[in-house]
Amino acid sequence: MALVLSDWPDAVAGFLFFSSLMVLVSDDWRWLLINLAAAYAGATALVSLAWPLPLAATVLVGGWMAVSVLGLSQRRLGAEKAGRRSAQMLRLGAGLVAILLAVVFAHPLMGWLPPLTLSQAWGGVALMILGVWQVGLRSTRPLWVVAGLLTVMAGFEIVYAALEQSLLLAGLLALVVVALALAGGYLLVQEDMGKEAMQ
Amino acid sequence: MSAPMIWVVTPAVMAVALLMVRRTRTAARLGATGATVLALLAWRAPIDQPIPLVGDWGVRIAPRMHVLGRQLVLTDAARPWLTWLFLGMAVWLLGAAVARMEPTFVGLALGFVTILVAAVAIRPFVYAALLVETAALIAVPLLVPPETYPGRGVLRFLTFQTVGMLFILLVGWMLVGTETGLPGSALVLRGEVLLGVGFALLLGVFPFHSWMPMLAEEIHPYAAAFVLLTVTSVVAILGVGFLERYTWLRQSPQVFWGLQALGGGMVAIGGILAAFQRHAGRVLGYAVMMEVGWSLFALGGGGPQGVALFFALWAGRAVLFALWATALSGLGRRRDGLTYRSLRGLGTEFPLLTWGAVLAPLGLAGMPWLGSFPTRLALWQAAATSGWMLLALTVGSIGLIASGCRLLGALVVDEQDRPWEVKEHFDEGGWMVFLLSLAVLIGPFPQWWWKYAQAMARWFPHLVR
Repeated sequence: MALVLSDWPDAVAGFLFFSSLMVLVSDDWRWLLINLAAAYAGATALVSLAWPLPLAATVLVGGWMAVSVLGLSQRRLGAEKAGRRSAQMLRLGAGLVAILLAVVFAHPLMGWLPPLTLSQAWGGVALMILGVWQVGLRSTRPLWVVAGLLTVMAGFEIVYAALEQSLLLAGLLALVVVALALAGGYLLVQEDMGKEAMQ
Repeated sequence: MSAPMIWVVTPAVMAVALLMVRRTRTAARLGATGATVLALLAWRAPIDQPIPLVGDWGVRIAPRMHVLGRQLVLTDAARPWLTWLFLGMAVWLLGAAVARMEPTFVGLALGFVTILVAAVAIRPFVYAALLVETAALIAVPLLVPPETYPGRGVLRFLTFQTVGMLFILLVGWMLVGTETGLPGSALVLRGEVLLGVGFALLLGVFPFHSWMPMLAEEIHPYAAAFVLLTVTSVVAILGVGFLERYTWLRQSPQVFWGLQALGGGMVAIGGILAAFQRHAGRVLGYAVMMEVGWSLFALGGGGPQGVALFFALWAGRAVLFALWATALSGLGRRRDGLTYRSLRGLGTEFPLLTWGAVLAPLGLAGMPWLGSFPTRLALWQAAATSGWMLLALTVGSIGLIASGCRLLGALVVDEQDRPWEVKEHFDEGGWMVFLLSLAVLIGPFPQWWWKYAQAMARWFPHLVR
């Protein structure tokens, strides 16, 4: 049991990878946002390895507020058409490649940034790669791009938390996350109004 | 009273107040007046020195302001830059009414610039990256005003600024305590690479430049030109700050050589790509990319001349891009978009706008007697030591001239033989004449503004030593 408890960061890193992979693969915006919220919960757990829990909670609060903002904006727009199966499979394949890349990059990153633990490096790098994948492979809609950027930010926050313990920086990063979601929400609404105007 | 209170907090408050104004013309006048007052204050009021007012009474503007345990610092050496920045801002805000921008443009634009000033002023500098990101987020409603469709350019702009910020934050942590001491070679290499990638993303350095033409194609040319120019110019100053701060960075000849090579390459590539566009907005985007290239090339020259030239580029840039963006706004409004096909034949009806739209790229390419000619001449002379560099700069300029000629052809050549008329509105015509006169005036008389560029360079004492 003690062994299992001590291994929880690795399990969280695995959970993080799975939830971010689902962000990349999901066509339904609800699943996308639920998985993003789960990714932020996992990121907070890994951040709490370096920061006291009350400080680490800023990541969770910022992330979940961002997800709420995006959810409220998207809810107004209603359902989207389902994407093509082949595109979903391509994204799944690309996401699985991210595992290999995360494994390759995690060890050198620990050498460059000594305070990082393996689970933090692995989880952080995996999230950042999957976020970049999301931005690159689904660059046409604000919801997807902003969700991708939020995934990258969550990964970065895991890595950066191990390096920097400034309260102000933590607060500002959380603020940037929320502001990013607000910008995304604004773009989502504009997208809808623009579509209506074109029709 | 402190300098950041005057040049950061005051314009921020003004920006919020201007968002309430419902008419663009009123907001533009108020914003331009405020910016002019701030420019005059920066010009006349010394920082950290007693300023006599009445009798024995006087004030002293402190250079620092404490915010949440951090500092905003604007020293006396920053005054020439603040003067130019707010003067340029006044011109752009006044032009917003002529370009028929949304009323919110003025407040958002002022807020956007204020946050960028705060990014330059903040200490420790690592927070600057977060402020640049905040400015990029504020720019979103500026770029996509209500009831317009957000294109991919805005999303890409947001992506590059966000990822760039993360690189700068990481470098900020890595390089703590290495200001004067030479760190190990592995750390130097890592720091240089991460710093280079971070700034390349933020500045749109080739090959991360795609968002510039995309953005300029999709959105209003005035907003696009304003945001692109401001972000690249101010982020470049943050880059100069890095060179000033780290001894090992500014003493590395490879860094300066790299800046020149990158700058020359960007000018050449931007010019070549501009020549092959069929959309006037995209050409403007490539011209901004070329401006980044000219700035990097100037900085790469090193020494006091290099830094002074880096700042000297600002004068012609601010005026010529304002001219270009206003002209394209006017032309685009008359037809549906800025493709050469849609603009065909418009020149005979709107000759002043046509002059602006064509002379601005020619001036930026280095056409004699126009705003940017003195700085281009100096940079061509600097490049003459290397044949490749001179070739790159020349190719870039020829490309931009070619794009200007193509636009002129599209505007004046038409199947129907129309008589020449002047159909511009009075304010449009007047503003175009004012900007054209300004562009022509600053070209032949560089002695008027060169001393201010030198004064701006003294803000970075280690670099100009």
